[in-house]
Amino acid sequence: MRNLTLFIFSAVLLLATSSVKAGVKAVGDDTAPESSAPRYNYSLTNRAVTLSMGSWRAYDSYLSPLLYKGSGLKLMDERLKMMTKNYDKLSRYSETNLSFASLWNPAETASMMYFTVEGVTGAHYHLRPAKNFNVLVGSLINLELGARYNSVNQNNPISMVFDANMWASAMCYYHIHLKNRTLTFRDHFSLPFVGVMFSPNYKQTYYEIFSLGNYDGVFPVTSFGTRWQWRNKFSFDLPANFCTFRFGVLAERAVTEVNNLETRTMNVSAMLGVVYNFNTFKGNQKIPADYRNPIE
Amino acid sequence: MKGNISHRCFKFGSYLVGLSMALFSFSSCDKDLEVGSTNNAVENFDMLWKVVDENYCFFEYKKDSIKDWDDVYREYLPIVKKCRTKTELFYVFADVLNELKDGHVNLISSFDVSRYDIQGDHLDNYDSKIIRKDHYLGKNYKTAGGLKYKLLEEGIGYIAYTDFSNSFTDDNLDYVLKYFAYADGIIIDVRNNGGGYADLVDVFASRFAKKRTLVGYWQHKTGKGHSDLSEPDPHYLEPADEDNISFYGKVALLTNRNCYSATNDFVQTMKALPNVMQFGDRTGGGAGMPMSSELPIGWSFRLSVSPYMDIHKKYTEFGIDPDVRVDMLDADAAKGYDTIIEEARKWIKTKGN
Repeated sequence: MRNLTLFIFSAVLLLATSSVKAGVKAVGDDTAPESSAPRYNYSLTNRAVTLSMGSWRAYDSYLSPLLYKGSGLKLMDERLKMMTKNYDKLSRYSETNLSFASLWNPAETASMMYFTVEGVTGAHYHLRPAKNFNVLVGSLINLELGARYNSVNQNNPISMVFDANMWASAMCYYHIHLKNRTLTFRDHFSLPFVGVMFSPNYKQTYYEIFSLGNYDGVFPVTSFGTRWQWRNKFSFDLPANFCTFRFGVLAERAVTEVNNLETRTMNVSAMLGVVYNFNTFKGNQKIPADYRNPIE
Repeated sequence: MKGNISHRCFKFGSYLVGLSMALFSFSSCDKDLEVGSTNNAVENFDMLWKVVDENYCFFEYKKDSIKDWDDVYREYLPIVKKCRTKTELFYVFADVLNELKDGHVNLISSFDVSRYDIQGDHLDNYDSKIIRKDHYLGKNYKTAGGLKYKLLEEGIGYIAYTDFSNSFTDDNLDYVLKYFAYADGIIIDVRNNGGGYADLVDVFASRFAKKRTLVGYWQHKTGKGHSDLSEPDPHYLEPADEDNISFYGKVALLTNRNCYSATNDFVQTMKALPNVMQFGDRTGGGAGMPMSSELPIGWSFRLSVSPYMDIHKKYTEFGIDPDVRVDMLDADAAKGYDTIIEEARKWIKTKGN
């Protein structure tokens, strides 16, 4: 019942976000031509491509009663863009990331490979409480697919990762304008509040699920009682002569407890990447003269 | 002014670095993620005992045939405390696991693999030298995947399948059954087949099923209690696709005490079909799908967690009795004949069922 309530709450939040988006479009396009805010012809997309490398830990009671430790990589592509050209309060965020980690049991006699692909999308509302300081709050939807593979297990070598969640997200940017460059500090904290995940029943084999077709209870709804997860990305953007570098720290922790099974993953990594802004001219949109089209 | 900006920059940066350091420290101080000692004998024993206690699926079913698991702990703890070497500890742990009397329970280290002797003092009821005689498989047999086959005299097909880990395909089965299209019956000899891929059971058995047939029930552990098992889930065998070749004549299934695990499942599945008769000795059992676990010391072990039952909802963990009980006779063996195969031949040549 509690899970159902959370689901309804999430759906309402999602609908509310789309209504705001629709309303904003109407105001910006038709009913507020006299707005004092500057009108922009183009809306830039802020894109950051980063690679994180660091320490990982994973525990999956379906595979082993032991904690595995090792190192891993995460390649992340993040994009942030205002939803409409003339309303500067609502932006769209999207992220795609690939994670890979190689972990070992305490005696180093067995290894675990951890691989996931994750897609995230959502919207943020911009608060801008002070000059050069922007706070964004919003909601995200994510879909994650992957697997944990244990090298020594026989009938349970794989624990499949499949989950879809709604996240609460908060981001803040602080810009420091120096003489000829702008330094940007950013922190992005997010945590899921409701979702659904794949999990076998306590000691149910994948043979029973996929070969014999017994799917009962393998897609439980999760919320704070059964999934506790957070992710924090702190970064510092440093413009150089030819590009803007991003340095940062990524920390994430996930705990799930469903079907009497428990998983825990943790990752603290150093992040390095590049940030740039770009504009896309879609469809029949004419490219203005002051933009050079490389194929013309 | 410049100094002021630098000061604000430093102050704000410090806050954010502080926040990240706090999150980092919070993560690092998480005690449940600490890795304990790996070689402590008692800690390893505790974990072994606990994992088995929470996951083994036959405690209730075997309560009259195995020791109480709490008693096992009390009995072995003093022995574990006396262990001085890893090797010593390994064989004590092997004895602990063998108390479960289950061939699916093994302890695996880099120097040995423990196992429970499923055959015990029972007869072998199998002699590979006799199978290699010309009047059985001989030297001119055919091979399709893991299946060895030959058309015996009197028009009886003979298939020897000794390892469910040695796979075969639908194409292999098509060739075998096409070859036996005009046979009076088929003998499927799965003696000494210790199991392997459970997926192959239905692939093979479906070739002998005319219609959808209930062949058993599956369960799995749902929690840590000894009787926390799911409701039995019926398992139906579907007939093979029309594109594939099937055989609906008499099928004699030959078994002995070394038919274990997936082979036990195969025998159980085949016995649900009306045209199949089991000859030989009781199977070895092994009706619980095993899963792996491990110990801090670096050894892995596996144990049964997901049991299956026959069509009467009875576990076949201790084996399946044959329809026709036959032991190999020394007199027949001396003449180069396999008593069990000969009984199966007689049945196939007899009119009616």
